Amino acid sequence: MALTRRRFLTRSALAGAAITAPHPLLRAMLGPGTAHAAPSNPILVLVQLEGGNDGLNTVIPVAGAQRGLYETARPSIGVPAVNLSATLIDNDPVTHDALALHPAMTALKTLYDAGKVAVINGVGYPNQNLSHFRSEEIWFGADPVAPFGDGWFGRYLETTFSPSDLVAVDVDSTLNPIFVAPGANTLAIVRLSDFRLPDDPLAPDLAAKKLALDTLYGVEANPLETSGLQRTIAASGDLLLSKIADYALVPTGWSSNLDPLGTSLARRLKQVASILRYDAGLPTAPTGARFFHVRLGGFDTHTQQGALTQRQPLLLGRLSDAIAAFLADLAGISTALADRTLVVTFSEFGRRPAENDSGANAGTDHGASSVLFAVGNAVNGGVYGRVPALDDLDSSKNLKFHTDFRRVYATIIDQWLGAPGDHVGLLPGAPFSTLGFL
Amino acid sequence: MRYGLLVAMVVFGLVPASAPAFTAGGGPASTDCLAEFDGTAANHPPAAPREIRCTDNDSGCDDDPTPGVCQFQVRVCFNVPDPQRPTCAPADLETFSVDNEQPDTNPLHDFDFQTLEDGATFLTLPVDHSESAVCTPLALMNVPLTIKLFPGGSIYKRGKKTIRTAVRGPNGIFDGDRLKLTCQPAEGSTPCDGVTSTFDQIQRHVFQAASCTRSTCHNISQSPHLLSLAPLEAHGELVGVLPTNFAAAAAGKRRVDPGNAGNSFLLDKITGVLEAGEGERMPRGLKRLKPTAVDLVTQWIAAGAPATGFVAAVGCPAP
Repeated sequence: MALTRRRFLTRSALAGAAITAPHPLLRAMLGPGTAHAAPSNPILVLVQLEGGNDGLNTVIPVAGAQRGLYETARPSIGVPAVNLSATLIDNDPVTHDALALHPAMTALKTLYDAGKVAVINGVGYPNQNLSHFRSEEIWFGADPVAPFGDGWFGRYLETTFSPSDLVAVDVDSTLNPIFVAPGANTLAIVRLSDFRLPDDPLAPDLAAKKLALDTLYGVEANPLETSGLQRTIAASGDLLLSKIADYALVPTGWSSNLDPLGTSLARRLKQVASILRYDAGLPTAPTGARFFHVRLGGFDTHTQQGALTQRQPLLLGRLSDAIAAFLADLAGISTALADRTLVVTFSEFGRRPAENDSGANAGTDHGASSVLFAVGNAVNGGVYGRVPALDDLDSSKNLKFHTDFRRVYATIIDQWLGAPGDHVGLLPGAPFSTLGFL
Repeated sequence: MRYGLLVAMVVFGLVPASAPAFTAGGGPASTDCLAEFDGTAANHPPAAPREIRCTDNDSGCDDDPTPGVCQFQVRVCFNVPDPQRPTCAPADLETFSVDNEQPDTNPLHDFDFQTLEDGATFLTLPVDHSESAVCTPLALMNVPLTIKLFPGGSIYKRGKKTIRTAVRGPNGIFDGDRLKLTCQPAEGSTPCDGVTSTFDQIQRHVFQAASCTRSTCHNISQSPHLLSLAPLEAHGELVGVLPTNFAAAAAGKRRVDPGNAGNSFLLDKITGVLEAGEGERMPRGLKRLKPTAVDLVTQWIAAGAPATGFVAAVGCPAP
């Protein structure tokens, strides 16, 4: 039989199948800004900047006292002020210091000027952990204290959807912990063209494949002769086979704004756009996928970080170009689709203000607070939070955070996913006030 | 996009002026073109170069004017049209790795390797079989000379580093490559050149040479050690300071107890003579420091651990 257990298991990742009771949802406090009504069937794309993105060279002080401190801390990798005139954004809302995006982020600047980008500065959590692994866990689980258990988005999924809904997709070879929870099922699809079973004359259609799977796991016609575990596995397998059949019909050969970019991030976002494009064209939205995680690594710039060239500038340019091309794709498919889509970046930590070497070797070590972006038509564009002061560092000489990262999550849950409440059960330490960028 | 990147690199002087001189890196000829090294030209052995061999501060190959370290530019190009490997056909390539790229806790971890791997993984790949000579950004490879201490002085010895890479594609496509980097001492130079004091020598020839001051270690004061060995901070954070290690502090030790080597926790850490609860020998996971390095530190402490002046018989002499 062509449908082997190994082949079945290696085609996808499925989380467990238990369901926990929904938690009570209460009305949350609204933050600043004008809150939009959450769209129906909202789409969220979480873009993880893996390695710890240096926020201080992503949103850069342009003038004033902070600028002088910035230049002192970063004689090699500081971005010259003269290079920032084309990417100026609004001033810091607290200090009123002038700010600019890194000059490689011209595409994001265009979106910013159109009011579609929220820049959220000074994001972090108490007692910053400087380990990649632990800090990622903290961001995934939204819990800076307890050992990692569930992902915050997995908890949202299990309280809002049935395990058979399969509304989340991790565009990666492994399932990101952010989606993991006992009652949340998520697909991990690194490449749509690979997310299918081989042709098999013995199981030519979906029904035959399901039968083969049932046989493989010893499911009997009489339910009394089949164990609960066998039934669970078979049910999950049937669901997965149905989804594989749905995804097999997603076209990927269409002309996308992401195609010319050729980067791994662009290719992954093209897959997200392909899924959304396919669903938007059919009233049944066959895949039903609305929540995505994609990853861009390489931000662990201990060495050769660069000011205008080298590593981080190239990565920021890739990120900016890919987000802009992705949103242009969606707008080209339909305005309604673009209006339903929110892209949010995050990274496990920022980096230290002081560079660690000189010349082209210079980089930055693990730090604390950083910046993240929320991008989309529904975003209340502007600068939120506060750029951490370079003359008020923490005891480890790192940037102090001013905006708890769970406020960003609370804003997304409340204002975008349409689940207002105190978010107890979703976000440890809740309630958190929202930020008003939606 | 990729051409744009190349243009930017040329503008900012990151591409060597010489014509590309690819180094295939080894392996079956039918796959050896899938990834080839480019940048600073390999020059040894002359007939079939597979090693960059350079004398410190030779401007023809060493980009770094700092004595004691050679800096080479290395990038990897994928699907290289290679007339010497006519049977090698371009392929779809998806992943790339460099040995000892990660994790930070790996004692052999090399941030230069991480830079090269990240450049391939996140800025270059995937590469389609229809694409030709698609290259990563240039990564700088720093190869320090080895320092050998002896009573009354020190000498440089050759420094080496080897880049071992693997590129993979669907259906078992694979090309594993290797490039050896060698830095040779310049004639007449010694590690004592420019050393301003015994503590300066310890800074350069012990802390820095033994990787104590590399990023994520003691380059800054950070938890759990809270000890920076960076040049402007090390003396102040060592001499007379109570260790953060509870057991050592409880025993009344100091990180460096001036004039009292036996009560100096620094020596315990570098020799590995540690009591229960006093943690691991340093540098963690790497070879023990040579007895001459330990002697240098011991004599400096015995002489009162001064910030200035030449006080150790085994160290560099006063100029």
